Amino acid sequence: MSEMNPVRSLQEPSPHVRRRDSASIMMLDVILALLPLLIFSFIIYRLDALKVFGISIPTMLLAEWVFVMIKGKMPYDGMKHSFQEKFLYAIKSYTPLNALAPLVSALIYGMCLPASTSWYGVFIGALCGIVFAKLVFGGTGHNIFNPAAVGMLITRLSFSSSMTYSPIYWTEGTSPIIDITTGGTVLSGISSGGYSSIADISLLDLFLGKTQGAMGEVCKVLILVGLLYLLLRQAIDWRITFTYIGTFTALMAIASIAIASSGLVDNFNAWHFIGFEFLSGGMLFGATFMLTDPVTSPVTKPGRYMYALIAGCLTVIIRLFSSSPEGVGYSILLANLLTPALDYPKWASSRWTWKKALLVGGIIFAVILVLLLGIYYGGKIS
Amino acid sequence: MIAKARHIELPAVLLSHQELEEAPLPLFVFLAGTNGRCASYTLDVKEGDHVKIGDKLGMRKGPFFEQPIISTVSGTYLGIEKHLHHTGKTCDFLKIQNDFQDELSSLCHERSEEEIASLTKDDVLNIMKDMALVGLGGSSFPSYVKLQGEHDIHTIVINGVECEPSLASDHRLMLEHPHEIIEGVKYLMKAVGAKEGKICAKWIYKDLESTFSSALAGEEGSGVSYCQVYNFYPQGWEVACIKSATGIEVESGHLPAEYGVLEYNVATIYSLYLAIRYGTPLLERYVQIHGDGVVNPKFFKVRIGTPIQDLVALCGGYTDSGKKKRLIFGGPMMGNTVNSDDVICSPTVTSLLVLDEAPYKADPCVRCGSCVYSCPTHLMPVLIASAVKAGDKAKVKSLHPERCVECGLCAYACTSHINVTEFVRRAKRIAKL
Ligand code: SF4
Ligand code: SF4
Repeated sequence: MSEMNPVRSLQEPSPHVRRRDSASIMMLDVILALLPLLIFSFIIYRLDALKVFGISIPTMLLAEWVFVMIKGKMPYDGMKHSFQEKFLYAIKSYTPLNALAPLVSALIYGMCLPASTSWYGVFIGALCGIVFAKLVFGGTGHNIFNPAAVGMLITRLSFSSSMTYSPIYWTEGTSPIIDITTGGTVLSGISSGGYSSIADISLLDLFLGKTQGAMGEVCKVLILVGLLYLLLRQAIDWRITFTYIGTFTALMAIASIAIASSGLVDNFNAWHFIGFEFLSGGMLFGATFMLTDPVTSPVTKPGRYMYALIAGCLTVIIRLFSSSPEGVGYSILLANLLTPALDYPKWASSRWTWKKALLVGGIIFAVILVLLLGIYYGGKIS
Repeated sequence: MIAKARHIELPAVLLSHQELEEAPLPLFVFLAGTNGRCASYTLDVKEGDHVKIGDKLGMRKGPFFEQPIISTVSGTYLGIEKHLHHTGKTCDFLKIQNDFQDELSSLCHERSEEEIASLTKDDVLNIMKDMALVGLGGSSFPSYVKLQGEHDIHTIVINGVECEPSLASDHRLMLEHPHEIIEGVKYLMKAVGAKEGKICAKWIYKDLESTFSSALAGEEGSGVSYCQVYNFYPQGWEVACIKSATGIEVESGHLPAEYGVLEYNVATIYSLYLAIRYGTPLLERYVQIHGDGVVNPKFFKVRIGTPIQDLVALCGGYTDSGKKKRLIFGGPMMGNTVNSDDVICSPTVTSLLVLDEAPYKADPCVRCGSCVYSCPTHLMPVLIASAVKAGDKAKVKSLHPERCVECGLCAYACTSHINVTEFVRRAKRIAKL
């Protein structure tokens, strides 16, 4: 009875709709959030910024492209294919995400470097970062370590002599914020010179970025702008960022009270100390752009809280007690290393359990104990 | 996006609300012999026999139950034909030529108020069996089974939530038949000795709120109340609906009855009302034909047994977009596709959603965790998916895929457009091996 055009049907498993969203959109959001920092570095560091990003971006993009070409092999179907066919097949497997993911890594990596890094330092770090931290694991989504953090550490460790952390251009003519003969960041100042060497650094200058350090890490106000954007777009998990920052600040507050009460340091201003630790180095940048990389963080809520908590504790411990001034990179990588354990199917759960709560309590207790003992008896901070 | 998915956003074309139309009675009505749950049947009629509404034409045989095949039309029985059940299975259907007289069988007898008042729980249970009442929320599970237990029931929850976006059949039923539904609840409450009967619908339906507040006026002592629940997906899921209505959280692997609660779909209650009061089967359902694949989406009142092709033809047929169509029975989240439109409206069919092909290209999982955040049963779909990919059966089992209710949220929420739900379904099969 029905005079209809016949229907060509297609079967597919439910659900039949998807949220308007994609991994590429998430990457684009991160790039947008980095944009103010990128502009800042180009204004302040000019050619040096061009050098760093001009090397890191093509290196990482190219490495990923080569990887896709190798991985995108045609499945064996018993027929001979010309090179051209194979090449076209591989090209087809190159998706927008294959371009955006390394772009994000390259930008973050570049931001973690001081402008004075030599070009080969940038190149080697970028290459090692993407190849050893990501591609050998199977590409986007399979990596355990954050490629940008790995690249940064390789460069900072192997080429530290080429980095002079020169005072930034906009303070030229005025006196450098701290004595830069040590050639380090403000944090390396406290590490080598003790609290007295930072006692008169203006927190406002730190906040606005009138200081020295890695290109993307110095201007806190722009990082906060990026953070706000990412949170609004839900491109990162606020649980990670806030837990990390919260842990860091709380532990630094405890440390500063301990230092003040121990009387080890003269003229100690606890508020200034906390503010200084908060605003110096890569803590905010790491909390916004690196620790939150979803690929290298756990997938459950309790897992994410624990992950950020542990990273925060590690950062504080490394900053206060190790000879290395900056603990962010290491603590991120160490936390990355814990991710598979936190996501281990037998232990992971999407809700809090008593065991997990106890574990968290234990960690907090242990870390505070270490802090207090270290400060009272270690005497590293003087 | 790293966020829990609670609302399903649909393209605007799917949301057009339609006026109800009465579909012309079909020339031929088809009654399922076999169906999704029943694999065989016996017949009590011969070709050429005259049948009436309410006549029992045979017995369907399920795995542990039997149910009569009841005619929804009067006319001549013509024999068996093969068509599709809405689950996609090819089934035997009894073909009846409609004589448009709608004669009632002598088997249908009206019960007086006194008779109804004297019905016991076993009587109601037998009526459910005799009238082949099944869960009309989509499960098609025989309704009497829920009544069999020995648990004390204090509350009956009537689920009219219909949480899938764009579906409106239960909403319409509640608007048109509030009194019948309230009576049905009262019958059932009396039979099982429940004190409360909660009729649940989404709070956003203001028209339902006013309909029921006037229908319930004067019913204060009866224990029946109208209960507004959230507008989240999947509120219509039994466990979520009970939680919102009563605050009781039914643990996975347990029956609501163990907590003193029974849950029935509104349409089931309506069919129970008809069965008890008039002794007739459910004859009609509200069926939506919608989606961007049909020319004029419409909303029909349909005689059960009508071929769905007739309804699509009334909507002007399929659009000519050159794309393949997905023929989805049910909503966009949980509906299943079938490979042909040769489907008969069984009592559980309330919607045919025709969507143009729109493939989703999957990226590698970025471990954003949205699937974990979204899962209403607190599973970790991403970990299940990777355990399935790794072929690790022990791991799959330790993640409890059997708790999944296949709501589809994990796939809906997936940042990388991976059909995570499909992985969890595979995990269920692996875990069962
Ligand atoms: S389909 Fe299953 S696993 Fe996925 S969100 Fe729903 S209940 Fe959870
Ligand atoms: S499966 Fe999808 S939703 Fe789940 S973590 Fe991976 S990308 Fe996110």
